[in-house]
Amino acid sequence: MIFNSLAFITFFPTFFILYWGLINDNKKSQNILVIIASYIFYGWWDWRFLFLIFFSSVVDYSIGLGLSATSKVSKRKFLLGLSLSINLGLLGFFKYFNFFIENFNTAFGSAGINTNISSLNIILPVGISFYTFQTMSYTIDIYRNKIKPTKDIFAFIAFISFFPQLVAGPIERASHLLPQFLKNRKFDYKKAVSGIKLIVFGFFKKIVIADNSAQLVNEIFQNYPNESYLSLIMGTVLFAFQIYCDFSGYSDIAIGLSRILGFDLMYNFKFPYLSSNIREFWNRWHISLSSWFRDYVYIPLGGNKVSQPRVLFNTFCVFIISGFWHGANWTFVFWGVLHALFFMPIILFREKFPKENFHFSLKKLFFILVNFGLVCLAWVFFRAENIQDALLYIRQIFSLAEGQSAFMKTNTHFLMTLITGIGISILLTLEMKTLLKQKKEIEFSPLGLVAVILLTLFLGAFKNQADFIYFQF
Amino acid sequence: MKAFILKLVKYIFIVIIITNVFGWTGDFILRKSSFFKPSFLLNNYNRSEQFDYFILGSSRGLTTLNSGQIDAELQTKGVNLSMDDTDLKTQLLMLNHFFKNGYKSKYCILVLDDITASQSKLGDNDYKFSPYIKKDYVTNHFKSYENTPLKPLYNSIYLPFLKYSYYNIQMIPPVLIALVYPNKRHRFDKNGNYTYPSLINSKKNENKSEVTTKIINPLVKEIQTLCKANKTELITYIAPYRDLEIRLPQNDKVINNSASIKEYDLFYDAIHVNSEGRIVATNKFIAYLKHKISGTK
Repeated sequence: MIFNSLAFITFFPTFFILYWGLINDNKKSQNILVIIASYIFYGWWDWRFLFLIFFSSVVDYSIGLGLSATSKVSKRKFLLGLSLSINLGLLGFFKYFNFFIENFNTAFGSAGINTNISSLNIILPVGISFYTFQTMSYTIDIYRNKIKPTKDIFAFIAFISFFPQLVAGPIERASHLLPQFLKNRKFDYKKAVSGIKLIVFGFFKKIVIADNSAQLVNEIFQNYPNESYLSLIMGTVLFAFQIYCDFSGYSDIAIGLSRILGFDLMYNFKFPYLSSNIREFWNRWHISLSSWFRDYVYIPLGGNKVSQPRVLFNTFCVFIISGFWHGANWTFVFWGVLHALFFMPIILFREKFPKENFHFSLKKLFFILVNFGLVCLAWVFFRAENIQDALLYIRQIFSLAEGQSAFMKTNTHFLMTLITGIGISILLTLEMKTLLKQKKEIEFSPLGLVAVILLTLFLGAFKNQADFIYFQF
Repeated sequence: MKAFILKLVKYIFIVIIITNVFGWTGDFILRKSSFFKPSFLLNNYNRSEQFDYFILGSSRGLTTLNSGQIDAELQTKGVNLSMDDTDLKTQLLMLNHFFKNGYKSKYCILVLDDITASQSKLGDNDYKFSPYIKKDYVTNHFKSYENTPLKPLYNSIYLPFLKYSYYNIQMIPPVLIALVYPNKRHRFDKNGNYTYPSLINSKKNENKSEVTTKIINPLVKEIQTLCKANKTELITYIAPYRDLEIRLPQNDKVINNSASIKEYDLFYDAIHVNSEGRIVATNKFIAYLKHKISGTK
């Protein structure tokens, strides 16, 4: 079930009434209802994968209890290893098995050895990367004695399967979200209203900006050899906003829905395209994943408390893994490598890059544009079918290639470009205003809220809705 | 929670009011304009007048027969009601629109494309009839063929904004244009015709492939019945194809001009003649119609 579907429009109000109306103030019943609703929500795609998520939940619940029951280091290490092996094993099988087989065959084939291992017809369970990371953080944190395991299995299963953030995050930490399932929840009017505002703006981002630009981006990337350099630049910029508005739109809706249900989820995006360097960008982009890698990969590797070459190595490791997390394709790995390369000057000349402080100046604007250009360059690899296509795409831009301009091919294309442009302008204006006020969340007056709803209803790409991009990860 | 729900209901109510005011206004503006074919017919032709003929068809009907040329040659009164990206379903809808609004005609010229069957889903341009959603033939058409879960065209009978939301790119700009220029027409002339330009053609003439078939599309029968009920004679016409010749049984009373134009230079693409091809195709049709009219006189 997706948020922008008729099924969800029926599902959520029904759930809301049951959750607050019938079993208000009873956390156990509410948690059981969350589990039922979450399993319906997830099973809407493919009910067979419910067993997978249930298995993963039970394994980590049991291992969590096992970890707290013993102080023996070897046993604790074994239990942690077991949790990681099972979770990463499932993720590896469903997401990376065919990728490894194909590359294995290619590698041996190029050496003249015909391995010919056939790949499997595997369906990738929606959101597996998200809930796997969420459940792994639980056992790791227990192992590190950062949190205590819960004995409440309903609360734990509800925490793993919580439908607003189950399939595309934010990837929550047990230390933050799990305690919210363990205490009584009461309806909070202010929180619910702020949730509605987030949901409205999330839909605006998704339906107006992401879905309108998706059609243009698809055409440009599919037909890039015949496009002009201007069209290719447009395709890259539009994809940057497509992926941002698609993903941050989803996060906004997830956070908003959670607030209506009395939960606080972490912010996942803080206006990333207004960053003036790549470090700032990663502090603002997909925060739940980047902080996950920081806490569970970068810091265990030594973080930045080691020699400079080692810091560089650690950074490359994190970005390569992060790229690989996104999908079983070398394009994602290359995307990660590029970001690591963009990070290098910050590691080498740390003192020249001041800490985040948003203010408006021409110098700041220049750095924002340079940083956005670098991010866009990397997005080409993220979006392209393969690395060769990405390189050719970029070569077409820099050779100022002539050709058609998909974004102005027909009146419909022109109108979609115009609508996307209007949407992006509104988004950036609101984001800049919010940053200048040093706030984390865009605020809407009642009139502003109605205006956003009207803009969404009249400018949204309802006819050509696209799936949320991050579902595939 | 009660306050929250009340606030939510209040906002939903405000939004529904504003959007539907826009929807009703949009419908009104489009109905008073000449932008789309259905309103072009109603706003440019007197309902008491009798036509000699009208042309129904898809883009091939729109661009092959020039009603202006026919009228000039035969001193007749006709109109081209063809719409691009449509099939027989939409043409039947247009026929209903024509008759139910009181128009009369001696002949209905059906430029036939979907000889064997039509698609069972709504046509891409059927939304152009949506300002007339309250007319039973339009409502029934959308009810029968719209297969999206929300059915925005059909449900726009209750919530007019739905169609402007779903077909925003196709419908909102026309409303704004029609508001400023109510007589503006969307890709057709004052007689309802459109033509493709004559481009330099690099392709050489080749032999056309032949397809032998029969007219078995049940919608043709429906169109025939409707015409008969309104005392209109149906003339079925197959427009020229660049690479194709359609062969029909002798007893099918059809003007089959599918292979009547051999020169590639007279085509815009495989299924459409260009402006020069239109003159040739229309002349060939005029010869037939002239004979037909003189025969009935």
